[in-house]
Amino acid sequence: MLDMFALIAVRRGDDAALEQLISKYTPYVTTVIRGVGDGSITVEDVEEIASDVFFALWQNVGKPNPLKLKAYLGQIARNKAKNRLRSRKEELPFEDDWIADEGETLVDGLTRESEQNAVKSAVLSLSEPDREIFLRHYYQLQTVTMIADEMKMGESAIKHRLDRGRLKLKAILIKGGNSNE
Amino acid sequence: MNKKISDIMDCVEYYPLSIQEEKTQSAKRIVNLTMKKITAEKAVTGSYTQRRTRKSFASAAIAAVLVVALAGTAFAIYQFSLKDLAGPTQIGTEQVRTFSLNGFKESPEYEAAQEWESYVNARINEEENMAAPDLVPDAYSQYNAFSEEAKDTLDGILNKYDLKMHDTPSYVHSLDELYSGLGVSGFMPALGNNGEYPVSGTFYEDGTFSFNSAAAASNGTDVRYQFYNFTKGALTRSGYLLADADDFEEWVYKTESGVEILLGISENKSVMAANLDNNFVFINILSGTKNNDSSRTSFGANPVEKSDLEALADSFNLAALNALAR
Repeated sequence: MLDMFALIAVRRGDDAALEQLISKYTPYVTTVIRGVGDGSITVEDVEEIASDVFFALWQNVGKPNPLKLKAYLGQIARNKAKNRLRSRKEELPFEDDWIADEGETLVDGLTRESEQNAVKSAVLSLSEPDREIFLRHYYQLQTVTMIADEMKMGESAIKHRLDRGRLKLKAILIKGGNSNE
Repeated sequence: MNKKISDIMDCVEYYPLSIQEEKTQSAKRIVNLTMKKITAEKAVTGSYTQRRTRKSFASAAIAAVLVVALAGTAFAIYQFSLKDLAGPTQIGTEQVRTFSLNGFKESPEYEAAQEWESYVNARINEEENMAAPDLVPDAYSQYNAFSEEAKDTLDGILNKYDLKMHDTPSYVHSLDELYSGLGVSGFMPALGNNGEYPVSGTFYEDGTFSFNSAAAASNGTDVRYQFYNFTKGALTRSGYLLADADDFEEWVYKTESGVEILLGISENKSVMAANLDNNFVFINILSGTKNNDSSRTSFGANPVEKSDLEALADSFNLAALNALAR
């Protein structure tokens, strides 16, 4: 069943349609969850988080664009996994996560949608492999060591490319903040 | 203000990197866990469907009491009239009387449409919001929001009324295409011209659709109409119908599918409007009691009577449309 029709059916209270969606997207959602952080999420945690993702889908079945359901579920899965790590007070292994220095005005004047669009624009403007590295680190929350290992690159090269991505994001967001003055 | 990149990325709905999906987790266990949470939620709050049913029953009970109290007066109890459709009175520099197609007054869809159209009309000649020749259309384009300021304003209105924006529409050229796109069929009447009348329309992911068609009227002629079905919860840019409620005789009719619909007939056009649980339906019929203006005589449209409108209303299965909407 196409996602659009399945979502319509779920909205009408069709549990079988929801089960179909869960079966279809479980491999993807669980892979996203396992990919968050340094791989320390247990099997039980993965199942629990995945069920939270699909429960969130049921609660908000009107929200996702049926043509982008996979991306929507991926975003939810990523955020819920990140929150689980934070709730366990595990340090999320970021390289210079902060985007602004003291004294700079950043994104205050931007709406949430503008901010989202600015970030997406910045990320999409990165060339490969910088884009992949940036997303692995700040979206999938992978450590530099993991990224270096999976992409067969040196850790200092990874850090250098992350630095370039941060500078680019910062430039776009600061420009957006200044344009509202 | 400092922001964490990892937190900014929370709100990015980014299509993930291609990943090798690993089927190491049992979907069945996740299904069971999810359904347990849903069952627990329903036990606490009641399902969405159940809440809707209780509300409808309460409304019907109150309406029934009022009908009994007014027995003998021949009033039909309906909470809206055509005056509740009144739309903008100025389009560009022209003073007009209009009907909004987005819903009855005070509904979030109606109010949001009014605000957005006021914004667009006030800037209709501003170059900043003109579409550039090399514009790559996006979802905002259908709302005439081309500049960043316009997009931000539209987003603000959508947030204010808790409405969604549609994605790009799909186009249909037959009833079969419309039924196929929506996943539900049989809710429209037979086409005029012995089933050969051309259909053109659009639909969105949430069941919102509009299309132009004609049905065979009881007097043996075709009645042309424009059908709009708007799922509640989204802002649909549909334009306005030039119409003045004072020109119409209106009445409430209960269709064969059990849905009450507001009908209006005037000399050159007729309208139907139904405020259903999940959607708003508006039908503009391109015929009235006389058809004596050039837009009707040039097409040779035959006049219609009240009974023709009631028969046309019966031919739409509005109960099925209410179930379709999301």
